[in-house]
Amino acid sequence: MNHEPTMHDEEMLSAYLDGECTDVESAWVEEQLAASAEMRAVLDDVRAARDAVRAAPLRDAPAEFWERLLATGPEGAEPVAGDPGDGSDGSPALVAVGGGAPVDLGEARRRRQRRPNRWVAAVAGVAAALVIGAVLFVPQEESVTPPIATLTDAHAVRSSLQDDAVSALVPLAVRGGFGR
Amino acid sequence: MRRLARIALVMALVAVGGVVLLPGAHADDAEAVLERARNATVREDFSGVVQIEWRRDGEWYTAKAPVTGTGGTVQVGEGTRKAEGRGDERWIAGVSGWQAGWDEPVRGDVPSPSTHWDLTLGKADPIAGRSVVVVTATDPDTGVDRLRVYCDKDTGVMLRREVLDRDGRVVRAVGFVDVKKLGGSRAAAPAVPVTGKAKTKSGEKVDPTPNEVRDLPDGFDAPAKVAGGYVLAGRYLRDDDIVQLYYSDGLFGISVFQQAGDLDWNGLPKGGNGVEVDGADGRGYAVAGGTVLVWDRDDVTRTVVSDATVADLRAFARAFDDRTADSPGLVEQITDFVLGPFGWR
Repeated sequence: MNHEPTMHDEEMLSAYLDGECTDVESAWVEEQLAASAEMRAVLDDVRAARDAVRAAPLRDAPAEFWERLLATGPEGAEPVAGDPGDGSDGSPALVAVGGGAPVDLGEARRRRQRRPNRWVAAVAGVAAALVIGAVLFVPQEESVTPPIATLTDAHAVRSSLQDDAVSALVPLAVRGGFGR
Repeated sequence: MRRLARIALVMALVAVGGVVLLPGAHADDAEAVLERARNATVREDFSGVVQIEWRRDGEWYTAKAPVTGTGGTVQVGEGTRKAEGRGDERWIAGVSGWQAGWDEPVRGDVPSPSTHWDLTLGKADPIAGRSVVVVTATDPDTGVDRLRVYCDKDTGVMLRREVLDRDGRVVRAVGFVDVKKLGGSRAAAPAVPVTGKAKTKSGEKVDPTPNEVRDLPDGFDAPAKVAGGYVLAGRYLRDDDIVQLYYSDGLFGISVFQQAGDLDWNGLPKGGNGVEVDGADGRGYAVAGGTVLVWDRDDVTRTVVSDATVADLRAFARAFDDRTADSPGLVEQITDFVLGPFGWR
């Protein structure tokens, strides 16, 4: 049996994760999970969403948020009771949002599931572009070898111009003492 | 009786004044001797042999070279290792002939030696058969002698210079061990050497004479003063893109050479000792040409050369780094963050 998950199933899975199912409900969930890869994927999604919500910091909503929410309608979004499209029979579940046109929840869920993939692809693309740009355009520091014997001579020359010329220039006339 | 008291008072004041002023008068005399020595080799003809002595790892090393001064031209060495100086010009001879080493007047002034040092004038044993006076420079903070300069009494020519470490021990000296001629009649200056340009390993001809510059390339700094009494007396850009700064405290000159890039340790000459420069690894050398310290920091490789001790160069290097240090910019931080994991920075 390959069961197409519904909103009800998601709620059931959420309750299952929270340990709020009865023994009968738990047995049904585990049976569905064993038989349906889709159900296992939804379980993973629900678990991930639950973990993400719990990990998110608590913030107070701004005052205008509640005003805007109330202005959208008294019921917000609610299932249309008795509608053939509530998903209970396996057909696409439909809900009315803000009193507007019904929305196909199955399609919305698929869009939601596709969205993370697009973000991951976008982030990966930007990261790849950064790395390629860095390699191509950021100059790499090269190692340098100071010509120490030459620099020692250069110092002797400069020093001889403002100090005693003999003592400053003599190092230029003897073996330097550097090894190779 | 009142008159006697007045005379006694005047004598006491003179005595006290004399005691107070005497050190100052000595310092002035010592400074005058040093100033006279700077120009003496231009005024006097001379010939002889000069020896360099330097200490490395507890052992003494020596090297000798013949020197002559004729009509204001100083010549040192012979064969393929010699150098010549006249006025503001310097020439260096190597296996490929003479090269110009300097060809323009020096503009930057060096500070008076007495600004940073306590100077005293005294007597000393003769050097190479010549009577001398000695100027001693003492660190005013520690009371330790750090430099002795022996000058010929008659002509003022410097006959020996001794550098002492922080314990007052001689660690380097350069001076006459034989004087054949000093003073007397003067001869005409020799002809100016015929020069060519130096060649790099790749065969490219380069001008070894640095150019004095007002502004340095990006990434290089030249603080006007560095702790220890050092004053910037010149900034130069060489043909090989190495920046040279010249600092002096009046007695010790220090050249700071800066190159963009990290230090390639494998390219350094053998020998030398590992030296820590304010947390950075460095290498120090004691050679005939002086003391050398090389290290890198903030993607710049620095080489300092002087006849000061390694300990003094380390102190200078630390102070120089402090004056030039700056925090990395945002772009550099981002670059480091992105490239760091790949080991490219």
